[in-house]
Amino acid sequence: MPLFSKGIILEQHKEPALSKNILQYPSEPSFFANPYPYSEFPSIEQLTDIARRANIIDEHDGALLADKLSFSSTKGHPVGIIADALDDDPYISSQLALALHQSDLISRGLHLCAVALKIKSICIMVYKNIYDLSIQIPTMIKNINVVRIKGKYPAENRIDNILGKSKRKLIIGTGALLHLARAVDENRIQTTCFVTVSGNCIAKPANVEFPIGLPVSSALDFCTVALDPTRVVVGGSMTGKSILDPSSELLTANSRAVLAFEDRRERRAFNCIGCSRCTEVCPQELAPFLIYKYTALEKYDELYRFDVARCDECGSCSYVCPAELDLADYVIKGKNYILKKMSDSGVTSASEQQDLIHRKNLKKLKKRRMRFVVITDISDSVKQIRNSLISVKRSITANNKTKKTQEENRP
Amino acid sequence: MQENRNLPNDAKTDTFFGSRINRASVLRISRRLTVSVGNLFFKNPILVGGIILSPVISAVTTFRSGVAISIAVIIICIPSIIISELSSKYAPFWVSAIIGALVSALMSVPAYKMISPLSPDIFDNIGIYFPIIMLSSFSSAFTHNRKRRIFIWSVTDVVCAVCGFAFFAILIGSIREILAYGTFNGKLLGIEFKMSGVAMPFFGFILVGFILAIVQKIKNSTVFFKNLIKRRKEVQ
Amino acid sequence: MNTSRIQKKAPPHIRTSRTAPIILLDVIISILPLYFMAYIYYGLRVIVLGAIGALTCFLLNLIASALSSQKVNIYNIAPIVTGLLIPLALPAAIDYSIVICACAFSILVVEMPFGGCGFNFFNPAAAGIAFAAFCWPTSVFTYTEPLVKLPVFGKIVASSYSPAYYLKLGAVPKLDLVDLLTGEFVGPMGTSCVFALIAGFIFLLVRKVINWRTVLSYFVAVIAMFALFPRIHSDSISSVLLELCSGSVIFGGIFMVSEPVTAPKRNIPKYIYGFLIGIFTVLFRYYGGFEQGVAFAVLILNIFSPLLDLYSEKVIYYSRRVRIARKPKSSE
Repeated sequence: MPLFSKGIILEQHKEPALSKNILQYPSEPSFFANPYPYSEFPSIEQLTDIARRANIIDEHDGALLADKLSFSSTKGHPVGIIADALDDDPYISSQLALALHQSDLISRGLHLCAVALKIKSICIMVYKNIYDLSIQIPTMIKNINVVRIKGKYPAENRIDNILGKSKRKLIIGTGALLHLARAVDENRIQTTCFVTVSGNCIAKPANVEFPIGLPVSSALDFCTVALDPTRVVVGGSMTGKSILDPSSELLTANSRAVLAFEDRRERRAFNCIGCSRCTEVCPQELAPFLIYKYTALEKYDELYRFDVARCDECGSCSYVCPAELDLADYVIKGKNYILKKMSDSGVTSASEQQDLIHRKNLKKLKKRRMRFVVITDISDSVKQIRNSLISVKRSITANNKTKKTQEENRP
Repeated sequence: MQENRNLPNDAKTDTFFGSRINRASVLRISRRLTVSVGNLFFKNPILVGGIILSPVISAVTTFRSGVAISIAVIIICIPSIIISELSSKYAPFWVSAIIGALVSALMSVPAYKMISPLSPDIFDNIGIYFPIIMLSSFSSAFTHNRKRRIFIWSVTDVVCAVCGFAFFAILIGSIREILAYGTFNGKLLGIEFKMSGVAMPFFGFILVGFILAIVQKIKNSTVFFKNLIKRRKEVQ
Repeated sequence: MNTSRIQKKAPPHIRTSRTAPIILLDVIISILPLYFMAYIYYGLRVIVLGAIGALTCFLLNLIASALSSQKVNIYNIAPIVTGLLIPLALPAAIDYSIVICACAFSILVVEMPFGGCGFNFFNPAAAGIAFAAFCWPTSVFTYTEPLVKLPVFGKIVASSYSPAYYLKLGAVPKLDLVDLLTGEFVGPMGTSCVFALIAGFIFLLVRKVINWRTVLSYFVAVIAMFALFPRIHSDSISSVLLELCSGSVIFGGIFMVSEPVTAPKRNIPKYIYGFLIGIFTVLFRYYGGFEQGVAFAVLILNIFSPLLDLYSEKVIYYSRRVRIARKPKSSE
């Protein structure tokens, strides 16, 4: 039910970057040698080879597009292809802007994949709850359906409902589709990435096509930094990492945003006020306040009962905490401990690992209880007692002998 | 006693009958005395807790009852430790412990007789905890290390612990009497502000906890007490 | 671009604007109508009492957190909420020294030794009221007539008893319905006007500050007990109304039962907690030594709230395993 669904409602702050056209950072394109003759819709093997030569990286999950296509054709056999223009993180709009302003290339890329994999249902997915837009998102882009995902952040949990719940889908980012279209039509290698530069320190936020390997400080200067930032973030605003030195950090293919924030006030030192907003908001029904307490006291072995490995690192608990605690950080720490234990003991799934720890603890409890069990098999216990008595007697005689020798040795 | 490596070689372990008092033994005695005096503040039965805490919380609500319970503890514990230590030379350890318990049970009779004129209502409040005071001799016997039982030091340990008990019992009793009734030893002080809930046991717990916290703070803060702790660790 | 101020922090990089001081300010705003009604009934003394309570709690909290080497946080206004709540359950004729002692007890004994505001085990307002009830039983339970302005300084002789006292003796107090709901009868300073309490409650609900689950189950339990086991020989509706409005039942239900630090945080324990507090309140009113029972019931149930949380985690863990085992595996 939408009234009681989990998650948080976020203000998206996507304007004015979304309405502007995509800017271009000056860079030279580079080409690869295409052994195949030009055809409008190449086969899947040719497409995979072209994607591999063009070195296309999908920014949705950081994998090579060639690997994804070959897996889909051999083992996956998906039923539909979805172009990822979701962008439910605030401030990011790099994928959505591509779908709106470069729709020719996106539709060309989608049709290429669909024909190669022989799939009929294709669509573009966009987040619905963006309230501060000045342009309207159409229902059809170049005759392709636009599916709006409703719900609160994180919206990735609701992707399963598109095209049927239990059917396999292939999700490709719009940037990768654009680069694929360029590779087939113009033999271009992927040397650029699409990045949103935004934040409350930037004077002219925009979506820009930067060359891969550009330092972050040049990316920020391209969009005029107005105030001195206190925090520079690469990646999303909810899940990205904050960097210390912008001039030494380089842009990669899946750094989808560069944000510069200025924090006007310091974080105040509050304790947990027990409001339980973190448990109401967690999409995986965890209890972040308890995990925070146990991890802060470093009692990692008792985390098994809280199902820490189910955390999907969305950051909703930290966002909503009124005391401004770093809840997500501590939960991820606990999760990494459990996963490391998992890899050490060779267990494949997280729930199995937690069951293992749980069973070990149960065994310990049972061992403690065993001491009070009545011995029913007398002969074994008698033998044990006799053996222990013999060993005790031997140790006593050995002690006496050493004492005697010591006394004789003294003057 | 353990052979102290810092002392000259001619100092032998002393016994009760025939002790040689020389420079080394004076040093040893003074160091050991500081440990006992430390026990007065940090290891007396109230602040460490245990069986003897309950009569203090429930019964010591006036100055007089504090005095009365201190006298009871002195009368019960000190003869029992003396006699059990003396008997430990001639009998195994468990026999001397039982003898100590019997002596403390015996001494509770004169204790009862001495307390009744002082503070007659104390037995209504203590009830069963009065005979349990004699169990404190058991606990003092077991807290001492069995190997190094020298008569004079065991006795001084217990005497100092009992003095500490007396000090804190009288302190707690007088505080509670001033707050709850506005009197001191029965004489009105002229304070109009009274809290009648202070005479209840819950406030006894809170007061004992606060005094313990203050004593711990003093212990951890001053340099003098830090040296005292170091010395105690050397000796033990 | 000046890079000297850049710091490294953990994600997420945006935070909600509803921080802890704003939430606590909402609670203070919902308490103010009660002070307004009390001012109408008893005069300026009420406001001075509230101010003294709040100031005592706030200053003692700052001093104690500085002494115990914690970070001093001026924006922590949770002690002010405690200091405003304690005088409301006491009569308006009470001495200032009693209020100061109760507030000092609630901060120095109930909050600070456990680690400060946020780590307390017991509800500080309930503990302060219980302490005042134990130490000065006559002062805390004798009142003056409403609509008689009390002087701000000086000792006041209080001689009236509240309807709860008469209910405990077995008599039926004669009160008009309108008088009962507006609070124009003898009683504690801020707990008698039902309209102000309901206004505060609706404000807290709309701003999503309060645990509505604990409060709902508390009222269900209390009303059921009052209707099923009435003390007086009249029909159940009037018995329920008289019992509800004559003491600090509604006040305790809104402000003391829903205190976030001490209440459990999962859904099912919240229902159990509120329900048991309701039952214990009624039992304390009927068979206890004092005429009010909310504070003591809250203190007893505070001991069980962490236990309820941990057991509910176990239940959720095992039910999730069962749900995963039963779910048909997807074709992927």
